[in-house]
Amino acid sequence: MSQSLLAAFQWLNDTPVGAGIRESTWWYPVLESVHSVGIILVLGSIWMLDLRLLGLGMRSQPVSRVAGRLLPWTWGGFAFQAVSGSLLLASEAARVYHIAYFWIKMGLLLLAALNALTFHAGVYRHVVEWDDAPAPPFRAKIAGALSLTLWVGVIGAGRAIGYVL
Amino acid sequence: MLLRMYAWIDSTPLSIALRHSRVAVPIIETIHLLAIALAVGTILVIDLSILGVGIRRQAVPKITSELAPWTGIGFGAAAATGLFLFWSEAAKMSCKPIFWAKLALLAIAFAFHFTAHRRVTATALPIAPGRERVTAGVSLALWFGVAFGGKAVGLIG
Repeated sequence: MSQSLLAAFQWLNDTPVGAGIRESTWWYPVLESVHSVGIILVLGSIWMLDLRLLGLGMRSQPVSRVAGRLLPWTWGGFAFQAVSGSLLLASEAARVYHIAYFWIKMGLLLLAALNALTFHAGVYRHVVEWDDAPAPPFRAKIAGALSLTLWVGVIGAGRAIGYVL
Repeated sequence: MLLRMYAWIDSTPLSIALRHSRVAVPIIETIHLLAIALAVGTILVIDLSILGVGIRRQAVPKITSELAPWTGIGFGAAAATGLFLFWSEAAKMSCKPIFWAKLALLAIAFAFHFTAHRRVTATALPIAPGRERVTAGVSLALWFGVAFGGKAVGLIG
Protein backbone atom coordinates (compact mmCIF):
# COMPACT_ATOMS: atom_id res chain seq x y z
CA MET A 1 0.00 0.00 0.00
CA SER A 2 2.63 2.47 1.10
CA GLN A 3 4.82 1.24 -1.74
CA SER A 4 2.18 1.99 -4.39
CA LEU A 5 1.49 5.36 -2.73
CA LEU A 6 5.17 6.21 -2.98
CA ALA A 7 5.06 5.13 -6.64
CA ALA A 8 2.07 7.41 -7.22
CA PHE A 9 3.92 10.36 -5.66
CA GLN A 10 6.99 9.58 -7.76
CA TRP A 11 4.80 9.45 -10.88
CA LEU A 12 3.20 12.80 -9.98
CA ASN A 13 6.68 14.23 -9.39
CA ASP A 14 7.76 13.13 -12.88
CA THR A 15 4.72 14.36 -14.81
CA PRO A 16 5.42 17.20 -17.26
CA VAL A 17 3.36 19.52 -15.03
CA GLY A 18 5.37 18.66 -11.92
CA ALA A 19 8.69 18.93 -13.74
CA GLY A 20 7.62 22.14 -15.48
CA ILE A 21 6.77 23.92 -12.21
CA ARG A 22 9.97 22.62 -10.57
CA GLU A 23 12.15 23.84 -13.39
CA SER A 24 10.52 27.24 -13.85
CA THR A 25 11.84 30.09 -11.72
CA TRP A 26 8.55 31.86 -11.17
CA TRP A 27 5.77 29.21 -11.27
CA TYR A 28 6.50 27.90 -7.78
CA PRO A 29 6.57 31.29 -5.97
CA VAL A 30 3.45 32.39 -7.86
CA LEU A 31 1.56 29.21 -6.93
CA GLU A 32 2.79 29.40 -3.34
CA SER A 33 1.61 33.03 -3.05
CA VAL A 34 -1.77 32.24 -4.57
CA HIS A 35 -2.14 29.21 -2.27
CA SER A 36 -1.21 31.25 0.84
CA VAL A 37 -3.55 34.14 0.05
CA GLY A 38 -6.33 31.81 -1.16
CA ILE A 39 -6.64 30.40 2.35
CA ILE A 40 -8.30 33.69 3.34
CA LEU A 41 -11.27 32.70 1.17
CA VAL A 42 -11.58 29.26 2.78
CA LEU A 43 -10.96 30.38 6.37
CA GLY A 44 -12.93 33.60 5.90
CA SER A 45 -16.06 31.66 5.03
CA ILE A 46 -15.57 28.62 7.31
CA TRP A 47 -14.54 30.57 10.41
CA MET A 48 -17.44 33.01 10.04
CA LEU A 49 -19.90 30.09 10.14
CA ASP A 50 -17.95 28.59 13.06
CA LEU A 51 -18.27 31.86 14.98
CA ARG A 52 -22.02 31.86 14.30
CA LEU A 53 -22.30 28.25 15.52
CA LEU A 54 -20.42 29.20 18.68
CA GLY A 55 -22.79 32.13 19.21
CA LEU A 56 -19.83 34.51 18.93
CA GLY A 57 -20.55 36.29 15.65
CA MET A 58 -23.47 37.40 13.42
CA ARG A 59 -25.91 36.39 16.16
CA SER A 60 -28.65 38.45 14.48
CA GLN A 61 -28.57 36.24 11.37
CA PRO A 62 -30.29 32.84 11.10
CA VAL A 63 -27.73 30.01 11.08
CA SER A 64 -29.17 28.54 7.86
CA ARG A 65 -28.74 31.88 6.09
CA VAL A 66 -25.10 32.23 7.17
CA ALA A 67 -24.42 28.60 6.21
CA GLY A 68 -26.30 28.78 2.92
CA ARG A 69 -24.85 32.08 1.72
CA LEU A 70 -21.27 31.26 2.66
CA LEU A 71 -21.16 27.65 1.48
CA PRO A 72 -20.61 28.49 -2.23
CA TRP A 73 -17.59 30.62 -1.21
CA THR A 74 -16.24 27.82 0.94
CA TRP A 75 -16.52 25.38 -1.98
CA GLY A 76 -15.09 27.89 -4.45
CA GLY A 77 -12.19 28.70 -2.14
CA PHE A 78 -11.62 25.02 -1.42
CA ALA A 79 -11.55 24.11 -5.12
CA PHE A 80 -9.07 26.93 -5.71
CA GLN A 81 -6.86 25.69 -2.87
CA ALA A 82 -7.11 22.09 -4.04
CA VAL A 83 -5.94 23.01 -7.55
CA SER A 84 -3.08 25.30 -6.43
CA GLY A 85 -2.12 22.83 -3.69
CA SER A 86 -2.08 19.86 -6.10
CA LEU A 87 0.18 21.77 -8.49
CA LEU A 88 2.53 22.64 -5.61
CA LEU A 89 2.50 19.01 -4.53
CA ALA A 90 3.22 17.76 -8.07
CA SER A 91 6.33 19.93 -8.25
CA GLU A 92 7.86 18.36 -5.12
CA ALA A 93 5.86 15.15 -4.66
CA ALA A 94 8.87 12.84 -4.24
CA ARG A 95 10.19 14.98 -1.35
CA VAL A 96 6.79 15.83 0.14
CA TYR A 97 6.02 12.11 0.53
CA HIS A 98 8.65 11.92 3.26
CA ILE A 99 7.49 15.03 5.14
CA ALA A 100 5.39 14.14 8.19
CA TYR A 101 3.71 17.58 8.26
CA PHE A 102 2.15 16.86 4.86
CA TRP A 103 0.44 13.73 6.18
CA ILE A 104 -0.55 15.55 9.37
CA LYS A 105 -2.13 18.26 7.22
CA MET A 106 -4.02 15.70 5.11
CA GLY A 107 -5.18 13.93 8.28
CA LEU A 108 -6.45 17.19 9.78
CA LEU A 109 -8.23 18.04 6.50
CA LEU A 110 -9.91 14.64 6.62
CA LEU A 111 -10.99 15.25 10.23
CA ALA A 112 -12.33 18.69 9.27
CA ALA A 113 -14.33 17.09 6.45
CA LEU A 114 -15.68 14.38 8.79
CA ASN A 115 -16.65 17.05 11.31
CA ALA A 116 -18.52 19.04 8.65
CA LEU A 117 -20.24 15.88 7.41
CA THR A 118 -21.29 14.87 10.92
CA PHE A 119 -22.63 18.36 11.53
CA HIS A 120 -24.68 18.46 8.31
CA ALA A 121 -26.05 14.93 8.74
CA GLY A 122 -26.70 15.46 12.44
CA VAL A 123 -27.69 18.54 14.40
CA TYR A 124 -27.99 20.74 11.28
CA ARG A 125 -30.90 18.63 9.98
CA HIS A 126 -33.05 20.12 12.73
CA VAL A 127 -31.74 23.66 12.19
CA VAL A 128 -35.29 25.04 11.93
CA GLU A 129 -35.65 24.44 15.65
CA TRP A 130 -32.65 26.63 16.54
CA ASP A 131 -32.10 28.73 13.42
CA ASP A 132 -32.71 32.07 15.13
CA ALA A 133 -31.20 31.19 18.51
CA PRO A 134 -28.28 33.57 19.19
CA ALA A 135 -26.48 30.66 20.85
CA PRO A 136 -27.00 27.32 19.01
CA PRO A 137 -27.29 23.96 20.83
CA PHE A 138 -24.25 22.30 22.39
CA ARG A 139 -23.63 19.86 19.52
CA ALA A 140 -23.52 22.73 17.02
CA LYS A 141 -21.10 24.63 19.24
CA ILE A 142 -18.84 21.58 19.43
CA ALA A 143 -18.88 21.32 15.62
CA GLY A 144 -17.96 25.02 15.34
CA ALA A 145 -15.16 24.76 17.91
CA LEU A 146 -13.75 21.61 16.27
CA SER A 147 -13.83 23.17 12.82
CA LEU A 148 -12.11 26.32 14.07
CA THR A 149 -9.26 24.44 15.75
CA LEU A 150 -8.85 21.79 13.04
CA TRP A 151 -8.32 24.56 10.48
CA VAL A 152 -5.74 26.24 12.72
CA GLY A 153 -3.95 22.89 12.64
CA VAL A 154 -4.28 22.60 8.85
CA ILE A 155 -2.66 26.03 8.40
CA GLY A 156 0.07 25.32 10.95
CA ALA A 157 0.98 21.99 9.35
CA GLY A 158 0.79 23.54 5.88
CA ARG A 159 3.16 26.34 6.83
CA ALA A 160 5.52 23.79 8.35
CA ILE A 161 5.70 21.86 5.03
CA GLY A 162 7.09 25.01 3.40
CA TYR A 163 9.78 25.29 6.06
CA VAL A 164 10.88 21.68 5.90
CA LEU A 165 10.84 21.52 2.10
CA MET B 1 19.99 57.76 11.82
CA LEU B 2 17.26 55.28 10.88
CA LEU B 3 19.86 52.73 9.88
CA ARG B 4 21.38 53.02 13.36
CA MET B 5 17.95 52.38 14.85
CA TYR B 6 17.47 49.21 12.74
CA ALA B 7 20.93 48.05 13.73
CA TRP B 8 20.06 48.68 17.38
CA ILE B 9 16.81 46.65 17.01
CA ASP B 10 18.81 43.77 15.54
CA SER B 11 21.19 43.90 18.51
CA THR B 12 18.47 43.61 21.18
CA PRO B 13 18.31 40.29 23.06
CA LEU B 14 14.76 39.72 21.73
CA SER B 15 15.87 40.11 18.12
CA ILE B 16 18.85 37.81 18.63
CA ALA B 17 16.68 35.22 20.38
CA LEU B 18 14.12 35.30 17.54
CA ARG B 19 16.85 34.82 14.92
CA HIS B 20 18.52 31.98 16.80
CA SER B 21 15.36 30.02 17.47
CA ARG B 22 14.43 27.51 14.78
CA VAL B 23 10.72 27.56 15.64
CA ALA B 24 9.96 31.10 16.82
CA VAL B 25 9.74 32.85 13.44
CA PRO B 26 7.77 30.04 11.70
CA ILE B 27 5.27 29.96 14.59
CA ILE B 28 4.91 33.77 14.66
CA GLU B 29 4.49 33.74 10.86
CA THR B 30 1.71 31.16 11.14
CA ILE B 31 -0.11 33.24 13.78
CA HIS B 32 0.38 36.30 11.52
CA LEU B 33 -1.31 34.43 8.65
CA LEU B 34 -4.17 33.17 10.87
CA ALA B 35 -4.74 36.69 12.25
CA ILE B 36 -4.90 38.14 8.72
CA ALA B 37 -7.32 35.41 7.67
CA LEU B 38 -9.55 36.31 10.64
CA ALA B 39 -9.52 40.09 10.04
CA VAL B 40 -9.80 39.91 6.26
CA GLY B 41 -12.32 37.05 6.61
CA THR B 42 -14.73 39.36 8.45
CA ILE B 43 -14.22 42.13 5.86
CA LEU B 44 -14.66 39.58 3.06
CA VAL B 45 -18.08 38.51 4.36
CA ILE B 46 -19.16 42.15 4.75
CA ASP B 47 -17.94 43.16 1.27
CA LEU B 48 -19.53 40.10 -0.36
CA SER B 49 -22.79 41.09 1.36
CA ILE B 50 -22.54 44.63 -0.05
CA LEU B 51 -21.93 43.10 -3.48
CA GLY B 52 -25.12 41.06 -3.07
CA VAL B 53 -23.36 37.68 -2.94
CA GLY B 54 -22.93 37.22 0.81
CA ILE B 55 -25.36 37.66 3.69
CA ARG B 56 -28.22 40.12 3.01
CA ARG B 57 -27.37 43.72 2.13
CA GLN B 58 -29.75 45.04 4.82
CA ALA B 59 -27.82 43.08 7.44
CA VAL B 60 -24.50 44.80 6.66
CA PRO B 61 -24.54 47.41 9.50
CA LYS B 62 -25.62 44.71 11.96
CA ILE B 63 -23.06 42.06 10.96
CA THR B 64 -20.34 44.73 10.71
CA SER B 65 -20.83 45.62 14.37
CA GLU B 66 -21.28 41.96 15.37
CA LEU B 67 -18.02 40.99 13.66
CA ALA B 68 -16.12 44.15 14.70
CA PRO B 69 -14.51 42.50 17.77
CA TRP B 70 -13.10 39.76 15.52
CA THR B 71 -11.89 42.27 12.94
CA GLY B 72 -10.17 44.10 15.81
CA ILE B 73 -8.65 40.95 17.34
CA GLY B 74 -7.41 39.87 13.92
CA PHE B 75 -5.79 43.21 13.13
CA GLY B 76 -4.36 43.50 16.66
CA ALA B 77 -2.78 40.05 16.48
CA ALA B 78 -1.53 40.67 12.93
CA ALA B 79 0.08 43.96 14.01
CA ALA B 80 1.69 42.43 17.10
CA THR B 81 3.09 39.39 15.24
CA GLY B 82 4.14 41.65 12.35
CA LEU B 83 6.12 43.80 14.76
CA PHE B 84 7.88 40.70 16.12
CA LEU B 85 8.71 39.55 12.59
CA PHE B 86 10.14 42.98 11.77
CA TRP B 87 12.05 42.98 15.07
CA SER B 88 13.73 39.70 14.16
CA GLU B 89 15.47 41.25 11.13
CA ALA B 90 14.89 45.00 11.07
CA ALA B 91 17.93 46.04 9.01
CA LYS B 92 17.25 43.40 6.34
CA MET B 93 13.55 44.30 6.13
CA SER B 94 14.18 48.01 5.90
CA CYS B 95 16.35 47.43 2.82
CA LYS B 96 13.48 45.78 0.94
CA PRO B 97 11.39 48.15 -1.21
CA ILE B 98 8.61 45.52 -1.25
CA PHE B 99 8.38 45.75 2.55
CA TRP B 100 7.76 49.52 2.42
CA ALA B 101 5.37 49.08 -0.52
CA LYS B 102 3.34 46.62 1.56
CA LEU B 103 3.24 49.01 4.52
CA ALA B 104 2.16 51.87 2.24
CA LEU B 105 -0.63 49.71 0.78
CA LEU B 106 -1.62 48.72 4.33
CA ALA B 107 -1.85 52.41 5.29
CA ILE B 108 -4.03 53.11 2.24
CA ALA B 109 -6.24 50.08 3.03
CA PHE B 110 -6.71 51.28 6.62
CA ALA B 111 -7.47 54.86 5.54
CA PHE B 112 -10.04 53.53 3.06
CA HIS B 113 -11.50 51.15 5.67
CA PHE B 114 -12.19 53.91 8.20
CA THR B 115 -13.55 56.44 5.68
CA ALA B 116 -15.30 55.40 2.46
CA HIS B 117 -15.83 51.79 3.59
CA ARG B 118 -17.25 52.81 6.96
CA ARG B 119 -19.80 55.12 5.31
CA VAL B 120 -21.11 52.20 3.24
CA THR B 121 -21.24 49.65 6.07
CA ALA B 122 -23.16 52.15 8.22
CA THR B 123 -26.13 52.25 5.83
CA ALA B 124 -28.80 49.59 5.44
CA LEU B 125 -30.09 49.98 1.89
CA PRO B 126 -31.90 46.90 0.56
CA ILE B 127 -29.85 46.87 -2.64
CA ALA B 128 -26.46 48.53 -2.87
CA PRO B 129 -26.13 51.21 -5.57
CA GLY B 130 -23.23 50.98 -8.00
CA ARG B 131 -20.88 53.25 -6.07
CA GLU B 132 -21.29 51.11 -2.95
CA ARG B 133 -20.37 48.05 -4.96
CA VAL B 134 -17.27 49.87 -6.20
CA THR B 135 -16.34 50.65 -2.58
CA ALA B 136 -16.72 46.97 -1.61
CA GLY B 137 -14.66 45.91 -4.64
CA VAL B 138 -11.89 48.42 -3.86
CA SER B 139 -11.87 47.24 -0.23
CA LEU B 140 -11.41 43.60 -1.29
CA ALA B 141 -8.72 44.54 -3.82
CA LEU B 142 -6.82 46.56 -1.19
CA TRP B 143 -6.88 43.82 1.48
CA PHE B 144 -5.97 41.02 -0.90
CA GLY B 145 -3.27 43.34 -2.28
CA VAL B 146 -1.84 43.75 1.23
CA ALA B 147 -1.93 39.95 1.70
CA PHE B 148 -0.07 39.36 -1.58
CA GLY B 149 2.37 42.14 -0.66
CA GLY B 150 3.09 40.42 2.65
CA LYS B 151 3.74 37.13 0.92
CA ALA B 152 6.04 38.89 -1.53
CA VAL B 153 8.09 40.35 1.37
CA GLY B 154 9.11 36.80 2.26
CA LEU B 155 9.85 35.80 -1.33
CA ILE B 156 11.58 38.86 -2.82
CA GLY B 157 14.91 40.41 -1.87
